[in-house]
Amino acid sequence: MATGLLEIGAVARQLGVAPSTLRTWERRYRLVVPHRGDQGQRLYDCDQIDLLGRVLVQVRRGARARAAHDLAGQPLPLRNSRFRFEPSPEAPLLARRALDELIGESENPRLAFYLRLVASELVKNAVLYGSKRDPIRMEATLFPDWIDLQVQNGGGRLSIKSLRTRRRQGGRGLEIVDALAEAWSIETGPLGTKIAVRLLVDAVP
Amino acid sequence: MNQAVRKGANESWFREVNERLERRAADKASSDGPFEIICECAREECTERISITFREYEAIRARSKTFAVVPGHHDRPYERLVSSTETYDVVEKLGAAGRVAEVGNPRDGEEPEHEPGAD
Repeated sequence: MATGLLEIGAVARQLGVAPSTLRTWERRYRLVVPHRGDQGQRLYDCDQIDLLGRVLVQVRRGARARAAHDLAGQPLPLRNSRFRFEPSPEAPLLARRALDELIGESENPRLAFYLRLVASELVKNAVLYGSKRDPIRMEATLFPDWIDLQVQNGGGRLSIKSLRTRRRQGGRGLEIVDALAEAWSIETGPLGTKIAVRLLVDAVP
Repeated sequence: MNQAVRKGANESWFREVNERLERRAADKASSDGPFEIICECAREECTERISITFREYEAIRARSKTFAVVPGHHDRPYERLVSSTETYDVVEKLGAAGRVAEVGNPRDGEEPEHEPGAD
């Protein structure tokens, strides 16, 4: 056996699962595909065992197997910051400044510029269309290749149409999000609205 | 990054967004009706919108140092006013800011035969 590689039985014992579980996960999700030994036996390296450990953490937190693989397969975030702002006219500017903690000017000034632009537009929308009492929550997570940004506000359900209403002072924001984001989504319901945006580090714009 | 370079960079980055907004609008529109861009002034916090036709926008983009800004957003030490319309001014970046605008031009920067914003 190659140095540092473990057979399936040893890995299963280490992780506290049945070998058949590892084989099933391999066949269904293809996240961890072990090496093969001379006799065709499965051999796992350290990184693969770590990854299986991350899958199991998600399963033990209650995730279904597919979701656990999706979560474990994501790269680990480099930095994460959460903020809350009162729904005031200053909130977009405060959101811009807050993001400087996450990604500094010297690191990638162009990406920082676009991140601040998207954040301020979404927070402006939240101020204009969201609850006038509940705070606006913003979360930004930096990964090696992308940034995830979420802006959440209280208040009633919003329609995409209302967010696209013509307004000279900006704040509609969605066409800018369309132009800059790799992907974005909106979840809106009776208790509030959450917009999630992903900006790619190298593809902006 | 010194102030002139930073101002040039801001305008160039707004220009990049507007290039995308124009492409998106062109995909939807069948005529030369107006579409909206972001003000390309040097103030990063400014996200005011400008309504502009494709023809007007293309005339501005034909030069790498010209930008569309909301009337009054002309930044005098770093820009000269080229022309004005009811809804926007056309400014030309000068000095270091102008060089940043040239370097960051997403197009090849062929010079137009007419003054931008004057048609």
